[in-house]
Amino acid sequence: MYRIKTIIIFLAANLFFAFSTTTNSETGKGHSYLDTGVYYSDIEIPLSFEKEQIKALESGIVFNLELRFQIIDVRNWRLDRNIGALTQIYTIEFNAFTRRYSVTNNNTGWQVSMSTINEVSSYLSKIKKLPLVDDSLLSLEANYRVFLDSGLRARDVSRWIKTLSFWREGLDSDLEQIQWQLFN
Amino acid sequence: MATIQLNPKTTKKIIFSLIFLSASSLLALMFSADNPNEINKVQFSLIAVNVFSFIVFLFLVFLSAKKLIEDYKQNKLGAKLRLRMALAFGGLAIVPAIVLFFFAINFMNKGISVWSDADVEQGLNNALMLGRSALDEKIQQGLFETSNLALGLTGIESIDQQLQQLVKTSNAEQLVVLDSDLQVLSSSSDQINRLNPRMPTRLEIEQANLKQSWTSLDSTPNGSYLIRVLVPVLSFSSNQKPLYLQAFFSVDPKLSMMADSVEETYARYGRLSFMKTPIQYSYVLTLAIVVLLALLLAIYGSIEFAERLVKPIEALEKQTGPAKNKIRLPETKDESDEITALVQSFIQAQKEAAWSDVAKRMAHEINNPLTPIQLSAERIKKRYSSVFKGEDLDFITHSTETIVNQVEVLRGMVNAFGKFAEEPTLKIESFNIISVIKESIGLYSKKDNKKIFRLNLHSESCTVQADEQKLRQVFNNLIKNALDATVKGSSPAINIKTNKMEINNRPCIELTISDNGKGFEPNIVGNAFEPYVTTKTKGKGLGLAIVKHIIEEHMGHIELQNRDKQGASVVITLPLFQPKKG
Repeated sequence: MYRIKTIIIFLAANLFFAFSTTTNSETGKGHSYLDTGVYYSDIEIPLSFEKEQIKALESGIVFNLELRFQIIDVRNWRLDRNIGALTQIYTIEFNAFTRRYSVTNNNTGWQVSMSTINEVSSYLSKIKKLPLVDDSLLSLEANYRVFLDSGLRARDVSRWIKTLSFWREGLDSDLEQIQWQLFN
Repeated sequence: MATIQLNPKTTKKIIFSLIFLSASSLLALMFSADNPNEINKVQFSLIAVNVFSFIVFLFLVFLSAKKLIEDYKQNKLGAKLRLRMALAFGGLAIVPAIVLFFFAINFMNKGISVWSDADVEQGLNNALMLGRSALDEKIQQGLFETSNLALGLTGIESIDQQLQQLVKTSNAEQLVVLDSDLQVLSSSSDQINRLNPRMPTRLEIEQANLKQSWTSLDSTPNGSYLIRVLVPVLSFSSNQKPLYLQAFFSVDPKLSMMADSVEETYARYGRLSFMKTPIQYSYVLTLAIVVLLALLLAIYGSIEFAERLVKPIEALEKQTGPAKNKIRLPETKDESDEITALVQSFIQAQKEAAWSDVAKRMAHEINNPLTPIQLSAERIKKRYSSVFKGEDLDFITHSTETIVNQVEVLRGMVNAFGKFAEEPTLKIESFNIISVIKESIGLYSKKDNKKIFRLNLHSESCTVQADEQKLRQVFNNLIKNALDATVKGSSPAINIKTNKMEINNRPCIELTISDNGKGFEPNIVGNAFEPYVTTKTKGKGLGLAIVKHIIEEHMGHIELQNRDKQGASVVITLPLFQPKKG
């Protein structure tokens, strides 16, 4: 009887922590879908630029939005298996002559131009159809989960200078990790 | 507590490696100083190297300073001189380095301030405005032309053909018709991406609706510029969704190049201005580390240099006596002049050596004829005691006995000289020194003088490590001297007092024997410990010299002085434990 009670408490605690994780990921969301043999993802991230980041952008510092995807095979009673990782980088820069922001997808080279930082935030907050993984690499029985870590980084500014810019709110910012099930 | 001691050779290797490492990293820093971005990349590792050197130097300086201060506290000969020299050399290096540091920072800050000069900033802003103004006319031309082109569109059915026709007759590079959902309905170019056209954003569509037009100047990845114009197509009003015509006009390559150059300079200036303060901090920090490293090196060097300078003096001092472990009473030496103390110590040692040598020679030279003289006197007495009678016999007997007695006196003197010249051969053992003192007093206590001795002992038992026989000889000698000094007094008194104390963290016993005799004559006090100095008619003048010799063999200290009112006192300070040999 005592043993059963212990198991129930252990399971309840696990469930609580599992829900806690879900709650944390509410700030962003993502989902994946299969299209012509490739899994694509649509993501929504709560991207916003800090004052110092906007100031830095307008001063000519280039920023990178880094999206680091990881596909993990979550296995019961065994260690999880890392299936693959993908990094998508968007470069954001401000052109003082045109007074416009340009966003370049480093993986495809596609560039868009926007007149306000809010437009940039909105554009990068909702990214659609990011190719993630080839269907042939996956097993239908497995339980795949996609983890996305994203963050804004000031490019070409060394860690040393960032450390010495301690009075600023931070030139680099990380967004909360989001995760979702690969198979719907 | 265990003390850390580094092998001098290892220390030397560490120091030279660190100097090389720091110098190389600083040189690297100096040569990369032309480009602030390059500094940023290497700064972290270079600073890390210097911080590491700084920590190691700090540790070495700490060890050296600790040793120096410990030596100073223990009152080791030369420590004060070393400390003074280290402070003087260190001070000579520290003051100019600090002054230089603040001047360098001031000049550097002034230099960096030039980067973000207000005039330069205004000039760059004006250049940007000028460039934009130069393109404004082109943008207005493009807007006028695009509005006319939009009016020329007659219907959606043959839109592709119309766009092809219009692009040929206009200055536009490309024409695109799209709806409010940003769906491209038609384009004058088969390859929509040829010019990497920018699709308008929703905000731009809204602006085009509001103001009936939207213009923008776009940069391309290859550094050229495009004029983009967006106007509503009013002639298609029957259509449910509003349509828009977007036209691209190229900018003259020369103008594009100049605009790009101005923009690049402006951006570089902006980056430098933005990073000015952290770069300033970085330079200050680097300079501070360099100065601190130099200072630490100077302090370490000054300590080592002072030690090397004083080393020969210490070696000289060691030669003059077993000074290493000798107790030094702070009040007994004028510390302000260690060199004088050393010279005095050296002269004293020379004197002792000379006396020792004389004593040895005298003992040898006098001892040789003594035996034949004594034997001859005894033979004369034996032969003539049967020949002479009466007065003659008395004369012969008295004369030969006088010769034999005086020979004995001479032999005693020779033995005393011999003992004085003996090399220190202590037989160290642990014993209760209070008992030995009491036994010595007992030896000279008689019924009529028992009340003379007044004891004030700190304890009934105090164990010391020393040569018991030699210390017994010391106490006997001093008590006998005190008794001799007080024998003619009306109410003679000899005070014997012991006290336990610590000198330089070493436990010691202090023994004071004071009497109320006539005291030492003023001309004797200063050199009473020197051999052959005495006021006694029958004294050999070796007693106090031997006493001092024995006390110093035990790493102790002895001094004598006349008391304020009457009499004299002898103070002996003796360590309770003898240092281990080797």
